[in-house]
Amino acid sequence: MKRAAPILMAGLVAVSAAQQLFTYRDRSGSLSVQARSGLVEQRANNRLHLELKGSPVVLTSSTEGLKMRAPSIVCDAVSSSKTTVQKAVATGGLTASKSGGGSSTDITAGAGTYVPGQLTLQGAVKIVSRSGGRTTTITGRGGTATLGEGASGGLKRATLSGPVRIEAVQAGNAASTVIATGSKLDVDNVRRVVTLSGNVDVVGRGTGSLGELHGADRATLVLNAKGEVSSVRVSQGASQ
Amino acid sequence: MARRWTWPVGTVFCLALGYAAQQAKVNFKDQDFSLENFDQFSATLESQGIGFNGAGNPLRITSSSSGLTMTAKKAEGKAVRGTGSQLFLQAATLSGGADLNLSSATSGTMRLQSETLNYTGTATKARAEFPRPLTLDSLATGTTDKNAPFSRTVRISGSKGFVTLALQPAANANALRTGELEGPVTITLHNELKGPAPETSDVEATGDALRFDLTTTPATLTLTGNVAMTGKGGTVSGNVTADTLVVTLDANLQPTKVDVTGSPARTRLHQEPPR
Repeated sequence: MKRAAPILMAGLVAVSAAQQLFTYRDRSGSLSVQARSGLVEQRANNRLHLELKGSPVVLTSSTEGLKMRAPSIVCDAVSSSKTTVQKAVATGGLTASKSGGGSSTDITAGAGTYVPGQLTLQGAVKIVSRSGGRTTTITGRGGTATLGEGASGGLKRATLSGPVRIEAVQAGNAASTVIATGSKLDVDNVRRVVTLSGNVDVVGRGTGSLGELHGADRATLVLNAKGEVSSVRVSQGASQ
Repeated sequence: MARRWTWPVGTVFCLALGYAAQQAKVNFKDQDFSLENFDQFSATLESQGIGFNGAGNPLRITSSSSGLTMTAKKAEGKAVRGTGSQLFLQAATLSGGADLNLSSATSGTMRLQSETLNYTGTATKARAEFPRPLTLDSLATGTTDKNAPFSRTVRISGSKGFVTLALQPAANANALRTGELEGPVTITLHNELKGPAPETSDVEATGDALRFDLTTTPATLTLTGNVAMTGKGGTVSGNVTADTLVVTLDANLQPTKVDVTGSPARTRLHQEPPR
């Protein structure tokens, strides 16, 4: 088949007021876009290029189980039977939502770049994970989030720089939460541990909480299947 | 020129070191239970309590509601939740100059010192075992049943032993409950009775072993093996050498009676009924 000439869909660029809505959906329905203005370019080898602006732009990929919102998104995708996002760069404030495996995760950041399975985040980051009726909130500055594959995986792992903070429900005591702060944070939802390092404080809030601990080098929050904190391992100095 | 910069740079460096040292301590607190001043620390926190291990210079373990404070260079232990989710120290091994302080408004202060201390307890009572030489100092003040103010100091030393303690003693009850020490044992007891008929009494005693029980009525203190005792003032005064010496104590730990057994019993003892 001859190499198809790129078809510039410039006619879809909106020039009127912000209320005008620009939408795009691929043939399989696996990629959809809503924006105030946009450029969608079909390139060779089934490659798709999108430059979108909106209030915000909403880019939804059912293949990845991912929804991204930002004032500006530049996206490159590959269309075959389904459209797969290869890279999406969001600026001006990003919210990414990932659901799957019975859990959902909302990630907000100043900006971010998505490639299959991973989000690289800049600026103030907030990750809110919901699982089994429990909510865990993590904040930090910059880092990466590794997402589950396809539509069946939620957040697998996240690494954030500080100052970082995590707030999670204490296992067996829904009225109490565990709040841990530090300089760096690593979430591993496969091993069900959250590790903080660098002048770590761990504070329990509520009746029957875990107490308050200050000044550790490192703390590991061990989570149960619901994402609740079942124990905290702390170390400082040579006892690590 | 170089000298002009040396002292401010040196000062800033020392301040930074001091600040860093200050920041490196780990402290844990849950209601009235705390672990403080740990330079090295590892612990597991769970809903049911905390298991910990660490070192400090010194570290400090406190249970405010019990009036209990322990310091040492190293500690390993476990605290669990009791009534009202309050943590209490269930077990601990302290080493590197273990120092246990117990104080209450009703029973005074007590201090136990040894190189090593093995502690087990509940929210209301405890047992402290000392595999190495120990010293016990106790200071109590109160009023007698005749409303005369008194103060009492006791010092006991031995090569090893154990004592049991009440952590929340009733008014006018002793925090020190029972104990056994191996010798050589030395006991020094000083009582001061104030009021219209002031009186001072001193008892010094040594022996190979000591056993005491302050939970019974009357309370007793038993010294065995190469016993020597000197009493001045008060109810019991004189000199005793014996195989066994049993001292009966009143509620204020005043000696009221001395029973001597064994030979050679070269004794010159003056005993009066309690006042």
